[in-house]
Amino acid sequence: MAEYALATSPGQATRGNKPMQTNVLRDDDWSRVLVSIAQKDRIAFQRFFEHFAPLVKGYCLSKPVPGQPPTLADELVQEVMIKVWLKAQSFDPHKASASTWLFTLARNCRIDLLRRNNKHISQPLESDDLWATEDEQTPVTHLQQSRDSGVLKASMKTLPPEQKEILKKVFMEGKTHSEAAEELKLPLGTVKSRTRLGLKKLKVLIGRNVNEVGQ
Amino acid sequence: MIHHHPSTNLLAEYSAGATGIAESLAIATHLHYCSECRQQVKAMQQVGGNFFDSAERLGVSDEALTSLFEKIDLIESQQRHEHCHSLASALPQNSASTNAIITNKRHHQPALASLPPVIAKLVGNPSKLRWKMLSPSLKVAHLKTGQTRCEVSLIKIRAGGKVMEHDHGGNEFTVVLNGAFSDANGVYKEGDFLHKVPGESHSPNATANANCVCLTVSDAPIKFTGFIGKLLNPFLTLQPG
Repeated sequence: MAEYALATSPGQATRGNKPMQTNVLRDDDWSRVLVSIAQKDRIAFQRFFEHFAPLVKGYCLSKPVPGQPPTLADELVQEVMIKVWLKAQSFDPHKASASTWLFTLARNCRIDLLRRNNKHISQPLESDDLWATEDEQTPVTHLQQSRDSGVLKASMKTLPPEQKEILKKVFMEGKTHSEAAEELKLPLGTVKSRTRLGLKKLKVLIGRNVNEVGQ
Repeated sequence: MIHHHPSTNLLAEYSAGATGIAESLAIATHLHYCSECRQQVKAMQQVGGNFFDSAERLGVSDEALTSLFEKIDLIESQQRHEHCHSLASALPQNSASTNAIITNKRHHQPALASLPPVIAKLVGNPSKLRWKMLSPSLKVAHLKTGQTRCEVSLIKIRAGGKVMEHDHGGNEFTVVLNGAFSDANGVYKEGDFLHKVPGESHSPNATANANCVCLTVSDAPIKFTGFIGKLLNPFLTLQPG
Protein backbone atom coordinates (compact mmCIF):
# COMPACT_ATOMS: atom_id res chain seq x y z
CA MET A 1 0.00 0.00 0.00
CA ALA A 2 2.84 2.42 0.78
CA GLU A 3 3.84 2.13 -2.87
CA TYR A 4 1.04 4.44 -3.87
CA ALA A 5 0.45 6.27 -0.62
CA LEU A 6 -1.91 9.11 -1.37
CA ALA A 7 -2.07 12.59 0.04
CA THR A 8 -5.54 12.05 1.46
CA SER A 9 -7.67 9.05 2.02
CA PRO A 10 -9.69 8.53 -1.15
CA GLY A 11 -13.41 8.10 -0.83
CA GLN A 12 -13.78 10.45 2.12
CA ALA A 13 -14.44 13.59 0.13
CA THR A 14 -18.00 13.18 -1.07
CA ARG A 15 -20.58 15.92 -1.45
CA GLY A 16 -20.35 18.59 1.23
CA ASN A 17 -16.66 18.23 1.99
CA LYS A 18 -14.22 20.96 1.21
CA PRO A 19 -12.85 20.83 -2.36
CA MET A 20 -9.27 21.18 -1.09
CA GLN A 21 -9.33 17.61 0.11
CA THR A 22 -9.66 16.23 -3.40
CA ASN A 23 -7.37 18.72 -5.11
CA VAL A 24 -4.23 17.71 -3.23
CA LEU A 25 -4.22 14.31 -4.93
CA ARG A 26 -1.71 14.22 -7.74
CA ASP A 27 -2.29 12.69 -11.16
CA ASP A 28 0.91 10.67 -10.85
CA ASP A 29 -0.44 8.82 -7.83
CA TRP A 30 -3.54 7.70 -9.69
CA SER A 31 -1.47 6.73 -12.71
CA ARG A 32 0.52 4.40 -10.47
CA VAL A 33 -2.69 2.99 -9.04
CA LEU A 34 -3.88 2.28 -12.60
CA VAL A 35 -0.63 0.51 -13.40
CA SER A 36 -1.25 -1.70 -10.34
CA ILE A 37 -4.80 -2.37 -11.51
CA ALA A 38 -3.36 -3.56 -14.82
CA GLN A 39 -1.55 -6.20 -12.76
CA LYS A 40 -4.93 -7.23 -11.33
CA ASP A 41 -4.33 -5.67 -7.92
CA ARG A 42 -7.75 -5.58 -6.28
CA ILE A 43 -6.74 -3.30 -3.43
CA ALA A 44 -5.55 -0.74 -5.97
CA PHE A 45 -8.87 -1.14 -7.78
CA GLN A 46 -10.78 -0.46 -4.58
CA ARG A 47 -8.82 2.74 -3.95
CA PHE A 48 -9.41 3.87 -7.51
CA PHE A 49 -13.10 3.10 -7.21
CA GLU A 50 -13.48 4.96 -3.93
CA HIS A 51 -11.94 8.09 -5.41
CA PHE A 52 -13.33 8.06 -8.95
CA ALA A 53 -16.75 6.34 -8.76
CA PRO A 54 -18.39 9.44 -7.18
CA LEU A 55 -16.88 11.56 -9.99
CA VAL A 56 -18.15 9.17 -12.68
CA LYS A 57 -21.60 9.44 -11.13
CA GLY A 58 -21.36 13.24 -11.05
CA TYR A 59 -20.25 13.26 -14.68
CA CYS A 60 -23.19 11.09 -15.71
CA LEU A 61 -25.77 13.21 -13.93
CA SER A 62 -24.36 16.43 -15.40
CA LYS A 63 -26.21 15.42 -18.58
CA PRO A 64 -29.73 14.70 -17.36
CA VAL A 65 -31.95 13.09 -19.96
CA PRO A 66 -35.73 13.45 -19.78
CA GLY A 67 -37.29 10.22 -18.60
CA GLN A 68 -33.92 8.86 -17.56
CA PRO A 69 -34.26 6.11 -14.93
CA PRO A 70 -32.73 7.13 -11.58
CA THR A 71 -30.50 4.04 -11.70
CA LEU A 72 -28.74 5.18 -14.90
CA ALA A 73 -25.88 6.91 -13.09
CA ASP A 74 -25.21 3.80 -10.98
CA GLU A 75 -25.29 1.68 -14.14
CA LEU A 76 -22.70 3.97 -15.68
CA VAL A 77 -20.48 3.65 -12.63
CA GLN A 78 -20.60 -0.15 -12.98
CA GLU A 79 -19.84 -0.11 -16.68
CA VAL A 80 -17.02 2.42 -16.44
CA MET A 81 -15.37 0.65 -13.53
CA ILE A 82 -15.54 -2.77 -15.23
CA LYS A 83 -13.81 -1.17 -18.22
CA VAL A 84 -11.16 0.25 -15.90
CA TRP A 85 -10.43 -3.28 -14.70
CA LEU A 86 -10.42 -4.78 -18.19
CA LYS A 87 -8.59 -1.99 -20.02
CA ALA A 88 -6.08 -0.79 -17.41
CA GLN A 89 -3.37 -2.62 -19.36
CA SER A 90 -3.86 -0.22 -22.27
CA PHE A 91 -3.22 2.77 -20.01
CA ASP A 92 0.19 4.32 -20.60
CA PRO A 93 1.13 6.77 -17.81
CA HIS A 94 3.57 8.51 -20.16
CA LYS A 95 0.85 9.41 -22.61
CA ALA A 96 -2.22 10.31 -20.61
CA SER A 97 -3.17 11.21 -17.07
CA ALA A 98 -5.47 8.88 -15.15
CA SER A 99 -8.24 11.50 -15.24
CA THR A 100 -8.03 11.99 -19.00
CA TRP A 101 -8.01 8.27 -19.62
CA LEU A 102 -11.01 7.81 -17.33
CA PHE A 103 -12.80 10.74 -18.98
CA THR A 104 -12.57 9.01 -22.37
CA LEU A 105 -13.89 5.77 -20.87
CA ALA A 106 -16.79 7.50 -19.11
CA ARG A 107 -17.58 9.59 -22.21
CA ASN A 108 -17.88 6.45 -24.35
CA CYS A 109 -19.91 4.53 -21.77
CA ARG A 110 -22.31 7.45 -21.35
CA ILE A 111 -22.82 7.64 -25.12
CA ASP A 112 -23.56 3.90 -25.33
CA LEU A 113 -25.86 3.98 -22.32
CA LEU A 114 -27.91 6.88 -23.70
CA ARG A 115 -28.11 5.25 -27.13
CA ARG A 116 -29.24 1.96 -25.63
CA ASN A 117 -32.35 3.73 -24.32
CA ASN A 118 -33.35 4.01 -27.97
CA LYS A 119 -34.03 0.33 -28.35
CA HIS A 120 -35.90 0.20 -31.64
CA ILE A 121 -32.87 0.89 -33.86
CA SER A 122 -30.13 -1.68 -34.23
CA GLN A 123 -26.71 -0.24 -33.49
CA PRO A 124 -23.99 -1.55 -35.79
CA LEU A 125 -21.33 0.61 -34.10
CA GLU A 126 -20.16 0.92 -30.50
CA SER A 127 -18.83 4.20 -29.17
CA ASP A 128 -15.36 2.60 -29.03
CA ASP A 129 -15.49 2.27 -32.85
CA LEU A 130 -16.03 6.01 -33.17
CA TRP A 131 -14.09 7.45 -30.23
CA ALA A 132 -10.71 5.86 -29.57
CA THR A 133 -9.82 5.31 -25.92
CA GLU A 134 -6.57 3.45 -26.31
CA ASP A 135 -3.34 5.32 -26.71
CA GLU A 136 -1.59 5.49 -30.00
CA GLN A 137 1.60 3.56 -30.39
CA THR A 138 3.38 6.65 -31.68
CA PRO A 139 5.86 8.88 -29.88
CA VAL A 140 4.39 11.85 -28.08
CA THR A 141 5.49 14.81 -30.13
CA HIS A 142 3.29 17.73 -29.22
CA LEU A 143 2.44 16.75 -25.70
CA GLN A 144 4.71 15.98 -22.85
CA GLN A 145 2.08 14.58 -20.56
CA SER A 146 3.73 15.19 -17.21
CA ARG A 147 4.51 18.82 -18.00
CA ASP A 148 1.30 19.64 -19.80
CA SER A 149 -1.14 18.39 -17.23
CA GLY A 150 0.44 20.80 -14.74
CA VAL A 151 0.27 23.68 -17.22
CA LEU A 152 -3.35 22.85 -17.99
CA LYS A 153 -4.37 22.73 -14.33
CA ALA A 154 -2.75 26.09 -13.73
CA SER A 155 -4.26 27.79 -16.76
CA MET A 156 -7.70 26.38 -15.89
CA LYS A 157 -7.65 28.71 -12.88
CA THR A 158 -7.07 31.78 -15.04
CA LEU A 159 -9.81 30.95 -17.53
CA PRO A 160 -12.41 33.75 -17.83
CA PRO A 161 -15.71 32.52 -16.31
CA GLU A 162 -17.68 32.91 -19.55
CA GLN A 163 -15.21 30.67 -21.40
CA LYS A 164 -15.13 28.14 -18.57
CA GLU A 165 -18.93 28.03 -18.49
CA ILE A 166 -19.09 27.01 -22.14
CA LEU A 167 -16.20 24.53 -22.03
CA LYS A 168 -17.93 22.92 -19.06
CA LYS A 169 -21.21 22.63 -20.97
CA VAL A 170 -19.38 21.00 -23.86
CA PHE A 171 -16.96 18.70 -22.02
CA MET A 172 -18.96 17.75 -18.93
CA GLU A 173 -22.53 17.88 -20.16
CA GLY A 174 -21.62 16.69 -23.66
CA LYS A 175 -23.60 19.50 -25.28
CA THR A 176 -23.08 20.63 -28.86
CA HIS A 177 -22.37 24.31 -29.44
CA SER A 178 -25.95 24.78 -30.68
CA GLU A 179 -27.38 23.21 -27.52
CA ALA A 180 -25.08 25.32 -25.36
CA ALA A 181 -26.09 28.47 -27.28
CA GLU A 182 -29.76 27.71 -26.76
CA GLU A 183 -29.40 27.00 -23.05
CA LEU A 184 -27.27 30.04 -22.35
CA LYS A 185 -29.33 32.26 -24.70
CA LEU A 186 -26.22 33.28 -26.59
CA PRO A 187 -25.61 33.58 -30.34
CA LEU A 188 -24.01 30.43 -31.78
CA GLY A 189 -21.04 32.46 -33.02
CA THR A 190 -20.32 33.64 -29.47
CA VAL A 191 -20.33 30.07 -28.17
CA LYS A 192 -17.97 28.99 -30.94
CA SER A 193 -15.50 31.82 -30.43
CA ARG A 194 -15.54 31.44 -26.63
CA THR A 195 -14.79 27.75 -27.05
CA ARG A 196 -11.81 28.51 -29.29
CA LEU A 197 -10.55 31.31 -27.03
CA GLY A 198 -10.90 29.07 -23.98
CA LEU A 199 -8.98 26.24 -25.62
CA LYS A 200 -6.30 28.68 -26.73
CA LYS A 201 -6.01 30.05 -23.22
CA LEU A 202 -5.60 26.48 -21.95
CA LYS A 203 -2.81 26.05 -24.52
CA VAL A 204 -4.29 22.91 -26.01
CA LEU A 205 -4.59 24.14 -29.60
CA ILE A 206 -1.92 22.63 -31.81
CA GLY A 207 -1.01 24.82 -34.78
CA ARG A 208 -4.54 26.12 -35.13
CA ASN A 209 -5.68 29.61 -35.83
CA VAL A 210 -8.02 30.72 -33.09
CA ASN A 211 -9.67 33.17 -35.49
CA GLU A 212 -10.64 30.49 -37.99
CA VAL A 213 -14.14 30.92 -39.28
CA GLY A 214 -16.03 28.39 -37.22
CA GLN A 215 -18.42 26.02 -38.90
CA MET B 1 -0.24 14.98 -46.67
CA ILE B 2 -3.67 16.01 -45.51
CA HIS B 3 -4.68 19.62 -46.11
CA HIS B 4 -8.33 19.79 -45.17
CA HIS B 5 -9.30 19.21 -41.54
CA PRO B 6 -12.38 19.50 -39.30
CA SER B 7 -12.71 22.90 -37.60
CA THR B 8 -11.44 23.42 -34.05
CA ASN B 9 -15.05 23.72 -32.85
CA LEU B 10 -16.09 20.46 -34.46
CA LEU B 11 -13.08 18.63 -32.98
CA ALA B 12 -13.92 20.07 -29.55
CA GLU B 13 -17.52 18.84 -29.79
CA TYR B 14 -16.25 15.44 -30.94
CA SER B 15 -13.64 15.19 -28.15
CA ALA B 16 -16.38 15.91 -25.64
CA GLY B 17 -18.60 13.19 -27.12
CA ALA B 18 -21.25 15.76 -28.10
CA THR B 19 -21.39 15.04 -31.83
CA GLY B 20 -23.94 12.57 -33.15
CA ILE B 21 -23.05 9.12 -34.45
CA ALA B 22 -23.02 10.11 -38.11
CA GLU B 23 -20.86 13.24 -37.71
CA SER B 24 -18.58 11.31 -35.37
CA LEU B 25 -18.18 8.65 -38.05
CA ALA B 26 -16.93 11.28 -40.52
CA ILE B 27 -14.51 12.70 -37.95
CA ALA B 28 -13.27 9.25 -36.82
CA THR B 29 -12.65 8.39 -40.48
CA HIS B 30 -10.59 11.54 -40.95
CA LEU B 31 -8.66 10.79 -37.73
CA HIS B 32 -7.71 7.39 -39.17
CA TYR B 33 -5.66 9.26 -41.77
CA CYS B 34 -4.64 12.39 -39.85
CA SER B 35 -2.15 12.16 -36.98
CA GLU B 36 -2.24 15.94 -36.51
CA CYS B 37 -5.95 15.90 -35.65
CA ARG B 38 -5.46 12.79 -33.49
CA GLN B 39 -2.97 14.77 -31.43
CA GLN B 40 -5.42 17.68 -31.29
CA VAL B 41 -8.21 15.43 -30.02
CA LYS B 42 -5.90 13.98 -27.37
CA ALA B 43 -5.04 17.48 -26.18
CA MET B 44 -8.72 18.43 -26.04
CA GLN B 45 -9.52 15.27 -24.08
CA GLN B 46 -7.15 16.54 -21.40
CA VAL B 47 -9.55 19.45 -20.94
CA GLY B 48 -12.27 16.84 -20.44
CA GLY B 49 -10.06 15.07 -17.90
CA ASN B 50 -9.58 18.30 -15.99
CA PHE B 51 -13.28 19.06 -15.81
CA PHE B 52 -13.90 15.45 -14.86
CA ASP B 53 -11.65 15.93 -11.83
CA SER B 54 -13.84 18.79 -10.66
CA ALA B 55 -17.14 16.97 -11.21
CA GLU B 56 -19.57 16.92 -8.32
CA ARG B 57 -18.83 13.92 -6.12
CA LEU B 58 -22.01 11.92 -5.70
CA GLY B 59 -22.28 9.14 -3.16
CA VAL B 60 -21.90 5.58 -4.43
CA SER B 61 -23.13 2.70 -2.27
CA ASP B 62 -20.81 0.04 -0.85
CA GLU B 63 -22.88 -2.58 -2.67
CA ALA B 64 -21.65 -1.08 -5.95
CA LEU B 65 -18.10 -2.19 -5.18
CA THR B 66 -19.24 -5.62 -3.98
CA SER B 67 -21.24 -6.11 -7.16
CA LEU B 68 -18.19 -5.05 -9.24
CA PHE B 69 -15.97 -7.63 -7.59
CA GLU B 70 -18.64 -10.26 -8.28
CA LYS B 71 -18.65 -9.28 -11.95
CA ILE B 72 -14.86 -9.36 -12.07
CA ASP B 73 -14.86 -12.86 -10.53
CA LEU B 74 -17.34 -13.98 -13.17
CA ILE B 75 -15.36 -12.44 -16.05
CA GLU B 76 -12.13 -14.00 -14.84
CA SER B 77 -13.63 -17.46 -14.47
CA GLN B 78 -15.09 -17.14 -17.99
CA GLN B 79 -11.71 -16.04 -19.32
CA ARG B 80 -10.02 -19.05 -17.73
CA HIS B 81 -12.65 -21.26 -19.30
CA GLU B 82 -12.23 -19.69 -22.74
CA HIS B 83 -8.47 -19.88 -22.45
CA CYS B 84 -8.63 -23.66 -21.87
CA HIS B 85 -11.15 -23.98 -24.66
CA SER B 86 -9.07 -22.08 -27.20
CA LEU B 87 -5.96 -24.09 -26.30
CA ALA B 88 -7.89 -27.27 -26.89
CA SER B 89 -9.32 -26.29 -30.26
CA ALA B 90 -6.24 -24.25 -31.36
CA LEU B 91 -8.31 -22.44 -33.96
CA PRO B 92 -7.43 -18.87 -34.87
CA GLN B 93 -10.03 -16.37 -33.74
CA ASN B 94 -11.77 -14.54 -36.53
CA SER B 95 -12.02 -10.88 -35.70
CA ALA B 96 -14.29 -8.59 -37.67
CA SER B 97 -11.34 -6.76 -39.18
CA THR B 98 -9.54 -9.83 -40.50
CA ASN B 99 -12.82 -10.98 -42.00
CA ALA B 100 -13.16 -7.65 -43.74
CA ILE B 101 -9.67 -7.90 -45.21
CA ILE B 102 -10.30 -11.43 -46.47
CA THR B 103 -13.58 -10.51 -48.13
CA ASN B 104 -12.05 -7.38 -49.63
CA LYS B 105 -9.35 -9.44 -51.29
CA ARG B 106 -11.78 -11.99 -52.58
CA HIS B 107 -13.98 -9.44 -54.27
CA HIS B 108 -11.27 -7.60 -56.17
CA GLN B 109 -12.51 -4.13 -55.47
CA PRO B 110 -9.21 -2.32 -55.10
CA ALA B 111 -10.90 0.96 -54.16
CA LEU B 112 -12.54 -0.74 -51.18
CA ALA B 113 -9.59 -2.90 -50.14
CA SER B 114 -8.06 -0.61 -47.53
CA LEU B 115 -10.95 1.06 -45.76
CA PRO B 116 -10.52 2.54 -42.27
CA PRO B 117 -11.61 -0.13 -39.72
CA VAL B 118 -14.79 1.71 -38.69
CA ILE B 119 -15.95 1.94 -42.33
CA ALA B 120 -14.95 -1.67 -43.01
CA LYS B 121 -17.08 -2.71 -40.03
CA LEU B 122 -20.10 -0.82 -41.41
CA VAL B 123 -19.63 -2.07 -44.96
CA GLY B 124 -19.06 -5.71 -44.05
CA ASN B 125 -18.83 -7.51 -47.36
CA PRO B 126 -18.15 -4.85 -50.06
CA SER B 127 -19.75 -7.00 -52.75
CA LYS B 128 -23.06 -6.71 -50.89
CA LEU B 129 -23.11 -2.91 -51.14
CA ARG B 130 -26.07 -1.77 -53.22
CA TRP B 131 -24.71 0.90 -55.54
CA LYS B 132 -27.31 3.17 -57.09
CA MET B 133 -26.36 5.12 -60.18
CA LEU B 134 -27.29 8.80 -59.86
CA SER B 135 -25.57 9.93 -63.04
CA PRO B 136 -23.10 8.35 -65.48
CA SER B 137 -20.21 9.43 -63.22
CA LEU B 138 -21.78 9.09 -59.79
CA LYS B 139 -22.83 6.05 -57.77
CA VAL B 140 -24.12 6.00 -54.20
CA ALA B 141 -24.44 3.20 -51.63
CA HIS B 142 -26.23 3.93 -48.35
CA LEU B 143 -24.78 2.70 -45.07
CA LYS B 144 -26.80 1.84 -41.96
CA THR B 145 -25.36 3.48 -38.87
CA GLY B 146 -28.21 3.20 -36.37
CA GLN B 147 -29.38 6.81 -36.16
CA THR B 148 -32.26 8.75 -37.66
CA ARG B 149 -30.96 12.23 -38.43
CA CYS B 150 -28.35 11.91 -41.17
CA GLU B 151 -27.93 10.08 -44.42
CA VAL B 152 -24.61 8.21 -44.49
CA SER B 153 -23.30 6.95 -47.83
CA LEU B 154 -20.32 5.90 -49.80
CA ILE B 155 -20.10 7.73 -53.10
CA LYS B 156 -18.03 6.73 -56.07
CA ILE B 157 -17.11 9.26 -58.75
CA ARG B 158 -15.82 7.63 -61.93
CA ALA B 159 -12.22 8.52 -62.89
CA GLY B 160 -12.36 11.88 -64.63
CA GLY B 161 -16.11 12.11 -63.94
CA LYS B 162 -17.91 15.22 -62.84
CA VAL B 163 -20.77 15.69 -60.37
CA MET B 164 -23.35 18.30 -61.41
CA GLU B 165 -23.08 21.64 -59.69
CA HIS B 166 -25.04 21.51 -56.43
CA ASP B 167 -25.72 23.45 -53.25
CA HIS B 168 -26.24 21.93 -49.78
CA GLY B 169 -29.54 21.91 -47.92
CA GLY B 170 -27.78 21.51 -44.57
CA ASN B 171 -24.48 20.22 -43.25
CA GLU B 172 -22.57 17.84 -45.45
CA PHE B 173 -19.36 16.15 -44.32
CA THR B 174 -17.17 14.38 -46.87
CA VAL B 175 -14.03 12.34 -46.27
CA VAL B 176 -12.02 11.05 -49.23
CA LEU B 177 -11.29 7.31 -48.85
CA ASN B 178 -9.63 6.60 -52.18
CA GLY B 179 -8.54 8.60 -55.19
CA ALA B 180 -9.02 12.35 -55.29
CA PHE B 181 -11.42 15.00 -56.50
CA SER B 182 -11.26 18.72 -56.98
CA ASP B 183 -13.63 21.65 -57.06
CA ALA B 184 -13.12 25.39 -57.48
CA ASN B 185 -11.66 25.60 -53.95
CA GLY B 186 -8.99 22.93 -54.13
CA VAL B 187 -7.94 19.31 -54.50
CA TYR B 188 -9.08 16.74 -51.95
CA LYS B 189 -7.07 13.57 -51.46
CA GLU B 190 -7.21 10.51 -49.25
CA GLY B 191 -8.15 11.52 -45.69
CA ASP B 192 -9.15 15.09 -46.52
CA PHE B 193 -12.24 16.36 -44.68
CA LEU B 194 -14.81 18.79 -46.10
CA HIS B 195 -17.69 20.45 -44.32
CA LYS B 196 -20.18 22.14 -46.63
CA VAL B 197 -23.10 24.28 -45.44
CA PRO B 198 -26.03 25.91 -47.30
CA GLY B 199 -24.79 28.48 -49.81
CA GLU B 200 -21.59 26.61 -50.57
CA SER B 201 -22.23 25.13 -53.99
CA HIS B 202 -19.62 23.16 -55.88
CA SER B 203 -19.11 20.78 -58.75
CA PRO B 204 -16.69 18.02 -57.73
CA ASN B 205 -14.51 16.45 -60.41
CA ALA B 206 -12.67 13.16 -59.84
CA THR B 207 -9.05 13.11 -61.02
CA ALA B 208 -8.51 11.32 -64.30
CA ASN B 209 -6.36 8.40 -63.11
CA ALA B 210 -8.66 6.66 -60.60
CA ASN B 211 -12.19 6.38 -59.29
CA CYS B 212 -12.78 8.49 -56.22
CA VAL B 213 -14.56 6.92 -53.24
CA CYS B 214 -15.77 9.15 -50.39
CA LEU B 215 -17.80 8.87 -47.22
CA THR B 216 -20.55 11.47 -47.06
CA VAL B 217 -22.74 12.39 -44.11
CA SER B 218 -25.55 14.89 -44.64
CA ASP B 219 -28.49 16.13 -42.60
CA ALA B 220 -30.41 17.49 -45.61
CA PRO B 221 -30.55 16.62 -49.31
CA ILE B 222 -28.29 18.41 -51.77
CA LYS B 223 -29.85 20.83 -54.28
CA PHE B 224 -28.70 20.80 -57.87
CA THR B 225 -28.29 24.32 -59.21
CA GLY B 226 -28.16 23.79 -63.00
CA PHE B 227 -31.21 23.73 -65.28
CA ILE B 228 -31.40 19.93 -65.64
CA GLY B 229 -30.38 19.43 -62.06
CA LYS B 230 -33.25 21.58 -60.77
CA LEU B 231 -35.67 19.16 -62.42
CA LEU B 232 -34.15 16.38 -60.31
CA ASN B 233 -34.36 18.20 -56.96
CA PRO B 234 -37.94 17.10 -56.11
CA PHE B 235 -36.73 13.49 -56.27
CA LEU B 236 -33.86 14.01 -53.85
CA THR B 237 -34.98 12.97 -50.41
CA LEU B 238 -32.87 12.31 -47.35
CA GLN B 239 -32.59 8.66 -46.39
CA PRO B 240 -31.28 8.68 -42.83
CA GLY B 241 -30.05 5.48 -41.27
